[in-house]
Amino acid sequence: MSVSRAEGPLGSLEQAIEHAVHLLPTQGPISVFVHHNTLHAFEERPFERALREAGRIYDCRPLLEEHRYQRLMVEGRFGVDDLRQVLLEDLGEGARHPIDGLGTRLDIRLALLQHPNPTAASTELRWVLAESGALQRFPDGVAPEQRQRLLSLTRDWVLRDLPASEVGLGPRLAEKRRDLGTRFGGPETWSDTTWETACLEFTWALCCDRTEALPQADLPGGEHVSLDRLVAEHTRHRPGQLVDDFLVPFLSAFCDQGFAAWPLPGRDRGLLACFRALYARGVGLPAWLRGLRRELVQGPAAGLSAMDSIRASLELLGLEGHDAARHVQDTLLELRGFAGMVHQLETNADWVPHPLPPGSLREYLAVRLMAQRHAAAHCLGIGPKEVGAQLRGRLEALRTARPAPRPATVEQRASLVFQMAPLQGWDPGRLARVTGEQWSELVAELEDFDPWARRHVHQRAYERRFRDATLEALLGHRTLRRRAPRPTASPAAYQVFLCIDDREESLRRHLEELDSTCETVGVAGFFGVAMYYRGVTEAYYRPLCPVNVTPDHYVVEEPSYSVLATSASRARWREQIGRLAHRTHRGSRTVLGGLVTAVLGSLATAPLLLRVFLPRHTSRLVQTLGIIVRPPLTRLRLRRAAGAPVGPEPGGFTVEEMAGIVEAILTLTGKREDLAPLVLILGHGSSSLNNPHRAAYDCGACGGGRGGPNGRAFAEMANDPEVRAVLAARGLVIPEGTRFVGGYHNTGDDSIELYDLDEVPASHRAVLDHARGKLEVARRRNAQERCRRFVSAPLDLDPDAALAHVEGRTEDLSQTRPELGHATNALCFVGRREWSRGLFLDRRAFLTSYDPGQDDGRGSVLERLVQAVIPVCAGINLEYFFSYVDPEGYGCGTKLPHNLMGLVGVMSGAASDLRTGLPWQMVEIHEPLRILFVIESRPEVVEGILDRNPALSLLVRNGWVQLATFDDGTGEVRVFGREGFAPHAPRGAEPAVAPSSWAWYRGQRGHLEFASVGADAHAAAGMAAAGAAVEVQR
Amino acid sequence: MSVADAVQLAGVVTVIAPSALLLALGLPALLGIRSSEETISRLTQASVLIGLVAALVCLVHMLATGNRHVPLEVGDWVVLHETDFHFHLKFIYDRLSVPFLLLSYVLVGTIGAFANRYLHRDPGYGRFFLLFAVFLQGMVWASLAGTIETLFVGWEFVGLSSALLVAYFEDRPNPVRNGQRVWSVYRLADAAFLVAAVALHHAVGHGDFDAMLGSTSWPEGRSLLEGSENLWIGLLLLVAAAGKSALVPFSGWLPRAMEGPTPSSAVFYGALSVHLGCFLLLRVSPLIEASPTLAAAVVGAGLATALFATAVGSAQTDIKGALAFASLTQVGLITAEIGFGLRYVALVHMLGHATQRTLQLLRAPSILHDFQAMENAVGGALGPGPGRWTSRLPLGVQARLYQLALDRGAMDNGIEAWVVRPFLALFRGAVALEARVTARLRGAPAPPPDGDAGQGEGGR
Repeated sequence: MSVSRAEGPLGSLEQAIEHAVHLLPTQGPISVFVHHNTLHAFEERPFERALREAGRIYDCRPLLEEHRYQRLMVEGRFGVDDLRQVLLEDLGEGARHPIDGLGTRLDIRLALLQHPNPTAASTELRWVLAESGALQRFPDGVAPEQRQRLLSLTRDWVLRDLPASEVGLGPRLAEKRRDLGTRFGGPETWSDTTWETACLEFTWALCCDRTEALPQADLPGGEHVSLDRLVAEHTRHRPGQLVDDFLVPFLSAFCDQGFAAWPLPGRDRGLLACFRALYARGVGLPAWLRGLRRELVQGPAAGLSAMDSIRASLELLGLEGHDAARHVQDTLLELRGFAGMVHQLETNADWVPHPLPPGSLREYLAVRLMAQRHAAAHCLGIGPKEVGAQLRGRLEALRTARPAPRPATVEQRASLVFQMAPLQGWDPGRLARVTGEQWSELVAELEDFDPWARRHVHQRAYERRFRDATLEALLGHRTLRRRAPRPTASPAAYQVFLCIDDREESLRRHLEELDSTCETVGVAGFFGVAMYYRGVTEAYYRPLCPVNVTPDHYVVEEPSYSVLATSASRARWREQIGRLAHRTHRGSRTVLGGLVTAVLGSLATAPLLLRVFLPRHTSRLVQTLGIIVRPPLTRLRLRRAAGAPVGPEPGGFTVEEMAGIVEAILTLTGKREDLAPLVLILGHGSSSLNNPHRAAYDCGACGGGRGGPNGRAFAEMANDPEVRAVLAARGLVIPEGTRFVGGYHNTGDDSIELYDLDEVPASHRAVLDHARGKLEVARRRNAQERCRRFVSAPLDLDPDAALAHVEGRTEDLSQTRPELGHATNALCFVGRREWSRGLFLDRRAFLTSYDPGQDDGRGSVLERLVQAVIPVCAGINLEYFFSYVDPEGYGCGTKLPHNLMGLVGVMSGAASDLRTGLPWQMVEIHEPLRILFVIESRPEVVEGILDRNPALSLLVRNGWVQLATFDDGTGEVRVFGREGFAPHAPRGAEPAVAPSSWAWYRGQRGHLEFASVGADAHAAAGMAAAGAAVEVQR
Repeated sequence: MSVADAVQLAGVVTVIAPSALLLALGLPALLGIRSSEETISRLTQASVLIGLVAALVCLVHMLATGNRHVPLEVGDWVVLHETDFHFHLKFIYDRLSVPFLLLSYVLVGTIGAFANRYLHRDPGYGRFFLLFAVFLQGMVWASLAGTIETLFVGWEFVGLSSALLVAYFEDRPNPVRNGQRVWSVYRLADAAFLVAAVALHHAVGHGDFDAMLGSTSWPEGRSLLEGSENLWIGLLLLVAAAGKSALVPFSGWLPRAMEGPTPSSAVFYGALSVHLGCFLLLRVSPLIEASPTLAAAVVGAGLATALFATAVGSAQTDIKGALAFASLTQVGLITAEIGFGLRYVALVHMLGHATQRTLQLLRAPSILHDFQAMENAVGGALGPGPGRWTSRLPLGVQARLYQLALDRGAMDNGIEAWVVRPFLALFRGAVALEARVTARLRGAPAPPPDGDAGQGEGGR
C-alpha cells in the first residue's frame, strides 16, 4: 500500500470507524456488570447538547416527555415556583422584557410550561381545528371569570372597534366576519355560546392574518437519512431487518463463551474467514442472500481484507468522505448491542474465556456492509446479478426524489399564538393592537421555546427543588444539632466501616440510632485492597476492585490446616456433583440422555412445585445440603515475603504493601487517630436467583463483585502486628486495644456475616457480642425500611416479618425485583459523619467519610477521594437516569422476555440485538435527577481539584453532575453554577423532625422528604417549639 | 347423591372451572373494568384448584371402580338437518385424558403462581392471565374431548392463546412478527385438522371417537375406518399434529415462539402446547396401528424431528432457543414411540418431559450462574460436550453442517421458497388475470400491476 493512500482515504476511513466505535455501548459481558455513564462518549459536550445529539444519533428519548413532567408537578415533586426560578436564571435581564401588553417573556414561558402547545403536522392541525371543537369552546384551563372577561372584551371589540368596512382588515378576519354573520345573524343578537365561538374564530383568523405578514419561517436543516430509512420510506421494508435476522445467529455463535455444545468451527480464524467458510457455499439461504454467496465465491469480496472490503462496499454505493463516515456510523449502530460486545470482547480479553481476535469489529462491519447491499437491492426489487450495476443509481434516485424539507406553514406558526390566547386572556382586540414588530417577536419567542427547551427547563426545575430541599434539610439539621449538641466526649465503643453505597445509608442510620456508642464510616467498598481473588469453592480468580484499577496481587482463600483432609474429600464431592450436573445439563438436551431424563422427568415435579410454592424453605434446604461440600474453616493466603515476585504464586501482599493500604484508608476517612476498640469492616454484595443482571446489584467499587473478601483482608492486614509496627514508624499508631473484624453485608436478604471470629481475643468478646446484637436489630430494621418500597410487601410488616420477606425475595425464582439496587440515588455527601448523622436520607445518598481538618490546604486527600468517588457515583447515577428516561432505548427493557445469549448478554425474546443498560424492574421507582455532590470543603479547594483533573472537570463543568460545598462551621453552602460557586440562600424553614426513622417512614410507599430523626433531634425541636410557645405567651 | 352422580358432577366441574375463570376475567375486561392483580390471581388459583380436585376425584373413582371409560355427554350444539351436520360436545375420562388433564392443571397452576410474581406490576398482567385462562380452557377441552369437533375447539383455543402470548410485547416489532408466524403455521395445521374432521363425518356420519375407534376404552380401540379412508384421515391428522408440535418440516416456528414472558414460554413450548400434537396422535393411535404406511410416516416424522432438533439445538447459543430444540428432540421421540405403537411409553415420556422442561425453562435466566457454579465445582473450564463427533470431520464439511444447524435447517427459507412463493405467485397471477379480464369487459386500459413484487420475506 502506498504512503499517500494510507494518509488519504484509508486514514479518513480509519477515523470514521474509530468515531463510530466510540459511539457503541461500552457494556462488557453481563457477568462483570459495571455501571457507567450511558452517554460517556458525549461527556465532552455540555449535558443539554449531549442529550440532544445522542437522542438524535441513537433515536432515543433525551428527557422525559412533557406530560410526565406535568404529572410530577401534580404529584408535588416540583412546582411553578421552581420553574420561575430556572427561567429567571436563563433569561436574566430579559425575563422582564415585555411583549406589548401581552406579558413579559417570563410570563409567556411560564404559561407555555404549564399549558404546552403541541405542534402538529399541518393536516393534523386542520383536522383538530375542524373536528375537535377547538374553534367552538375554550380549552379546559380557562376559568369561568376569565371566560366572561374574554367574551365581553370580544363583544366590545367587535361592536365598537371593528371597522365596518373591510379595508384594513386581514383577508381571513374579513371572511370570518361575513361567515359568522351568515351563520348566526347580526352580532347584536349573539348568545354567550356564540360569542365564545366568535372569540375563538376571530382569534384564529387574526393569528393567521398577522402571521402571514411575517417573513417565512427558517427552513429546517437538511436532515441526514440513512440508507435503511431511505429504502424503508420507499418500500415499507427495512433492509436492516433482513440483515439483523440473518446476522444475529451468526454473531451469537461468534461471541459465544462456551454455552453451545457445538461451537462455531474455525472461530479463531476470525469473523470474516468464518463467515466466508459458512456462507460461500451456504445451503438453503433465503433468496436475497444468493447474490452475497456469489460475491463471496467469485466477486471482488472473495479475497479482500476487511478494510478493503469496507472500502469496496462504500465505493459500490458511491459514498465518500463525510457521507461514507455517516454510513459507517449508521451501519455500526444498527445492531449496536452486538457491535459493542464484539468490540468489548476484542479489546478486554481478560474478561472472558474466549476473547475475540483483534479486528473483529472491522470484519463485522465488512460483512454487514455486504449483506446490507444485497438486502437493500432485494427490497428495491433489484435482482442478485444487478446489485453492483443498479443499486447505486437507484439509491441516488431515491435520495433526490425525497421531498425537500418544508418550513412551518402559516397555520402551524399561528397555532402557537392561538393556543396561548384564551389561556393568557388575550382577546382578539388585544391581539389586533399588537404592532407588527411585536408580533414577530411574540412568534419568535414561542418558536424558540420549543418542546425540547421546555423539557430541559422542567428537568432543571425538578432538580432544583430536590437540591433546595436537600440543602435546607442539611442546614436545618445543623441548627438542631447546635441546639442540642451530641456529647462528643464519649469515644465510640465500636466503629463500622461500610461502603459508600446508597443502600448502606439506612443500615448506618439504624445502627447509630440504636446505639449512640456506634460510629459508622463510609469508604469505597473494596477498602483499598485491589486484588484478584479466588474463593475456596471457586475455579477462577476475579478482580475485586474498581474497573479502572488493574490489580497486581492475587489472594486465595484456602482451607485451614486442621481441616485439610476433610476439605479435600469435600472438594472431590463438589467436583463429582459438578460433573454430574454438567452432564445432566447437556445430556437433557440430547436424544439419548434426554430419553433417560425424560422418563425420570416426572421426578422434576417435586423441585418444580417446591421452588415455586415454597421458595424460602427450598432454598434453606439446598443451603443445608450445600454445607456438606463446603470446607468448614478457611483462611486467606494474604502475606507474601518481601522479596517474592508479584503474581498468583505465592500471591498476597508484603508487609509494606499492607501498611500502605491500611494507612491510605485510615487517612482518607480521617480516622488516623480516634479508632474504637472494635472496628468492623463490612463489604457488601447481593444475592438473587434467576437474575442475569445479578452483578449489577453487587458492589460497584469491587467491579460488580462482592466485597466480603476485601473487608476480611483489610481486617487481617490492620490486625497484623508487623503492619502495625511499620505504621507506627510512619506516625500512625493503631492502639493495641483495637481489633479489626471483616464481614459481608448482603443487601439482598440483609444477612451480615463476620469472618474469622475465632481470632478475636477474649478481651473483645463483650464488645463484639454487643455489636453483633445491634447489627441483628439494625438489619431487621433495614429490611423493614426497604420493604416500604416493595408494592408486594404489606406496609405493616414488623422488622422480623420484613426480614423474612426480603429473604424470600432473594430466594424466589419468580422474583424480578430481588432488591431495588441503586434506584432513587440522587446524592453524595463527602465529609464528616457528624453533620449527616441522624439525617434521614431515604437511602438516596452515597456517604463518603472525609475530614477536612486532617487534610492539607490543597485538599490532597480530598483529591484522591473524589478522583474515584465522583466518576463512580456519577456513572451509577447517569446509568439509572438514562435507563429510566428511555427504558427501551438506553435501558434493556423489561426483564420478562430476557433470554441469555452465549453467557455474555441478554436478548429480548428469541433473536434481538443484545440489550444494554438496566432493566425496567431495576429503575422503576427511580427519579431521574443528576446526582448532587455536597463536599465539606472550601470552594477554592474544589476548584483547584477540578483544574488539576480534566475528567472531573468535564463531568462538573459540563453539567453531568451537580456540586455544592458545605462548611459545617459557618453553615455556608455554595452551589456550583454557570459562574462557578455561588452562595445558596437558606430559607431557614423549621426542619422536619421525627423521633425515629420508623416514625418517619412508617406506612409510606413514596419518596420521602429528608428529616432529622432520633431522640436528640426530636428533643431539640421540642425545645424550640416550647421556646416559641413561651414567646407567644409573652 | 350417589357416587355415580358425584363423579358425574366432578366431571362437569373439571370442564366448567376454566370456563368460569374465563368469564370472570374476560367479562370485566370487556366492560372496561380493570381488576386488581390480587383479584386476578385469586380467581386463577381458585379455578385451577377446584378443577384439579375434581380431576383427582375422577381419577380416584377410575382407580377404585376399574371403570376406565367414563363419557360425559353435553349434547348436540349445532344441528343442520338438511345436511345432516351436527356439532356434538362430549367429554371422555379415560387412561389417556385424565393424566393429561392432571398434567395441564398442575402445570397451569404452578406457572400461574410463578407468573403472579414474575409479572407483578407489568402493564400486561391482566391480558396475560386472560390468555392464560383461554389456554387452560383449551387444554381441558382438548384433553377430555370425546368427539373430533370438541377436540378441535380446544385445539383452537390453545392455538389462539399461544400466538397471542408470543406477541405479548406488542410494542416491539419482533414479537408481533413472530406471533404472526406461529399463527400462520397453526392455521395450516388447523386446516388439515378441519379437513380430517369433515372427512371423518363423511366417512362415518359422526365425529365421535367411539364411531371411529369403537367404544372400548383407550388404548384398546380398533380403527373402524376402511383402509384408504383410514390412511388419508390419519395423514391429515399427522399434518395437523406436525404443525402443532413443530415436527419437521414445520419446526421453524418453535424458536420464534420464545418471544413472550418466560413463564408462558415454559408452559407452552416446554410443556403443554407443544405436546398437543402428540396427544392427538395418541388419541387416534388405533388409526396408526391399522395402517403400516401411516405408522411409518409417523415414525419417520418423529425420528427426523429428533435428529434435526438435536443437531440444530447443539448449535444454539441462547438458552431459550436451546431449550426449545431440546423440547423438540423429545417431542420427536415421543412421536416415533407413538408410531411404533408404544402408547404407554409415549404417555409417560410426555408427562415426564413436560414437567422437567418446564422447570428448566423457568430456571433459564439462571443459566449464567449455573455455569459458574458448575465451573467452580469442577475447578476449571467445562469444555465442550462429551466427545463431539463433528470435531473430527474436515473443516469444510463441519462448516456446511454447522451453517445448516445455525440457520435452523433453512426450513423457513425452504417453506418460503417452495410453498409461500409459488402460492403467492399463483394468486398474484390470478389477481392480475382478473384485473385484465374485468378491464377488458369494461373496455378500459389494463390497470398497472401491483408494485409489491419481489418482497416476499418482509411482506408477511
